[in-house]
Amino acid sequence: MQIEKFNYDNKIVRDFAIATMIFGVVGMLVGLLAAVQLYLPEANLGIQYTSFGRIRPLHTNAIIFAFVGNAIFMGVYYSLQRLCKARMFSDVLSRIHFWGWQLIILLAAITLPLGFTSSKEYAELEWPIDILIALVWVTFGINMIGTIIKRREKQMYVAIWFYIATFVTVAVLHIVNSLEIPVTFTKSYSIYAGVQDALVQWWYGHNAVAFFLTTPFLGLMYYYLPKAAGRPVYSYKLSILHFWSLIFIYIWAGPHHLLYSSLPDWAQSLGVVFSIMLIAPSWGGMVNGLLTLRGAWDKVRDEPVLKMFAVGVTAYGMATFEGPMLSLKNVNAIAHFTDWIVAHVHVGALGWNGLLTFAIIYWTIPRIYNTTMYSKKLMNVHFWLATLGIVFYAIPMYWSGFTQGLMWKEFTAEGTLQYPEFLKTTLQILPLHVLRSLGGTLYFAGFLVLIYNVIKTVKQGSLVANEAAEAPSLEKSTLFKKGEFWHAVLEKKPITFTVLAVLMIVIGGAVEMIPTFTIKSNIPTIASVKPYTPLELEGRDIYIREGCNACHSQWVRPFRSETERYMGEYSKGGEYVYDHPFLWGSKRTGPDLHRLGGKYPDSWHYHHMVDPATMSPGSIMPKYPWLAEQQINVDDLSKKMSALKSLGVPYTTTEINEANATMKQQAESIANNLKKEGIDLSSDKELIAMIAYLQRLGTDIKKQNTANK
Amino acid sequence: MKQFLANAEGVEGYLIFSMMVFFLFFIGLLWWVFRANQSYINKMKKLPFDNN
Ligand code: HEC
Repeated sequence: MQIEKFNYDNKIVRDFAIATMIFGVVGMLVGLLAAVQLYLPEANLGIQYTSFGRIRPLHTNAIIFAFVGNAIFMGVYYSLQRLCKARMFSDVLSRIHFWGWQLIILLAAITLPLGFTSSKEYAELEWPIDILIALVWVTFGINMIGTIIKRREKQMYVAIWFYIATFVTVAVLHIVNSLEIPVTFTKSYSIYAGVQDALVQWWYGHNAVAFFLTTPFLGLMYYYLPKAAGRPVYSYKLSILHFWSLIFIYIWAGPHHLLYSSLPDWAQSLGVVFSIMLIAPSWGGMVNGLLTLRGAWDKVRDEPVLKMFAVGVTAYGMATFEGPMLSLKNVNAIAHFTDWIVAHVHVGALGWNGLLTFAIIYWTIPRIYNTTMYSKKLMNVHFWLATLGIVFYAIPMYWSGFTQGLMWKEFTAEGTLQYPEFLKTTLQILPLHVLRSLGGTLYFAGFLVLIYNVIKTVKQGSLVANEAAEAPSLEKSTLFKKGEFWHAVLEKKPITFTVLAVLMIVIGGAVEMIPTFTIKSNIPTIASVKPYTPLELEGRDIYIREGCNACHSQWVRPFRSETERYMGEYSKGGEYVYDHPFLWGSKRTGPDLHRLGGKYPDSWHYHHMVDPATMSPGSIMPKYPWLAEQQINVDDLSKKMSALKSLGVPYTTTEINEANATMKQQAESIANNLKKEGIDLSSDKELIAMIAYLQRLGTDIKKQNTANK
Repeated sequence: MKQFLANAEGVEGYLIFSMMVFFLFFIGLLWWVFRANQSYINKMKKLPFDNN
């Protein structure tokens, strides 16, 4: 057999490592800014581009796709080459992937503060960027599969299966959830509406957690943890079992984000059952990781890298135990919409993704720079800052979540709400929010220590851009032998493997989605529900632009504590049929708005939007004075209505042609209402459209009830 | 599982179908994994340590 000489590309690994560090800083800083605004709204400096609703998606996107994303690529490019005993398939594709990804991040950093957003969580970027993401992602996929095909090692190690599953599933998720109809270059509408949009979104959202934050990191764990510990993975059989079960089960669990919503009951039940089953494969991974360290605990004690792995994997175990618990309907009833969920995701993000990323950086950088880490002491300092940071973040958020969740549901002995005023429950938890931001600061400080340590390390070493390696060439004829263990065969055929993985994930998605889309009875229509008027539509688009859904839900759950608080019926699926996209939200920093229409006079909304504290003393809602200054952009109105019409919203041609006139009329009447109350606001201002939209919310169903009586 | 099914019509079909698919798949998986030969498993475990 011939021995071949080749080089590993370490430069691309280095580049992704730098990007990871830069965007880690950016993502965490924006997170801190958002956290501070929740007790000090003035921290947005009164600028629209930095107000909470716009920077919250900036934070989540920066952390998930920029920080964690670049970390994934760093680890994959390093480990894949070594596991395949081959250089990456194409250096050109590697560079296109790298720069393409950074370009996407740059565009996100510009467009999200500008308010160009689809409003769908973790999929906020507008359609031209969505297309770019798809192209760059496919570049990554071709480069990865190409490398696997030209490998010099017959078998694909378990880490590679996780990478393949990540690639194919994220591609499917991204494309299906981002289907939208463009109106302009910076505006589009989801092709799905209401309940269906919610189902697709949370099928995506949940599996973004699964296949962007979990599977790639499990793959990285299976490579780096044994390397760092100097011993092979505890059980390879367990890794086969938990891989296939994990990807199969995960894909069904999305509806646990929509419990007590108007999603059909059967879909909610499926989500619950599969979420609970998820404990098994998740813990399979955790146990496998932790047991790999068995007998090496003395080493763990004085190796900060192993400490980070140990705590990171433990955090994974905690988060994946908690997730299924949160899917139990009675737990979900209290936890949903509260800071409990924020605590849950941060145990995952800071603990699992963060600590593993740090460990991988500490392990990789000295190796590609042919040196050792500059300071082990600083690594230990970082470990403790990060761990304490997580504790000081998570505990206040759990506390805050329980507190607020219970306050919302508390009744007096007479049977009325103990805290009818929502704001009271918000003010109660503000001290905990202050503590949380301190926890975040600790964690961030630890990250700065890492960056200092890495810079010092890089200075004392020199980059081995092309690392020489050699391995026997792989003769094609040895690839397939008869009578082999089936998985061994699979591991040799990346394409078959990929197809099988796709099949696994498509089954779950299809069984949930196809009936929700095709069976009419799943979403009973309501005759009195009509499309938005032109002015309301513009108001709704401003609501989306400002990210009001980051703090407000539009989804009254069928509990007495909610129908009482929100003075109306719980939300019905038929009410949302014209909502492209749906705006149910996932967090109630402020009250639900689905039954808001008619609750207050127009003038109340005027004062409240310009300065919320005038109407609600102590409110932490941001001020929106610019809405009273900026003019409604009417240029695209008819285009918007035509786009919606093509998606099935029953606007007539006359309605579309006369849209501007209709809008003007409704705007004048609101301006007149305000004038009666002594408020001078010209009818072409954005705030007028916002008021129109807010006053419309949830009123259609009330009309029906009046008609029925 | 009863409490999930109680207030939903047509739940059974979906649930039974998806569970069946999963359990069949999982049992197959178990069967194959336990048939795996040990030298293959040992080789796979050592892969990350091969020469680098
Ligand atoms: C940082 C989170 C946050 C954001 C972002 C936010 N709000 Fe609020 N909102 C609150 C809080 C907290 C309250 C409760 C206190 C109050 O009435 O101001 C509230 C209350 C309200 C109310 C009164 C509801 C009621 O039933 O009394 C309305 C209406 C409202 N917000 C509309 C909006 C709109 C429209 C936007 C986007 C332009 C928005 N909010 C953005 C936090 C937020």
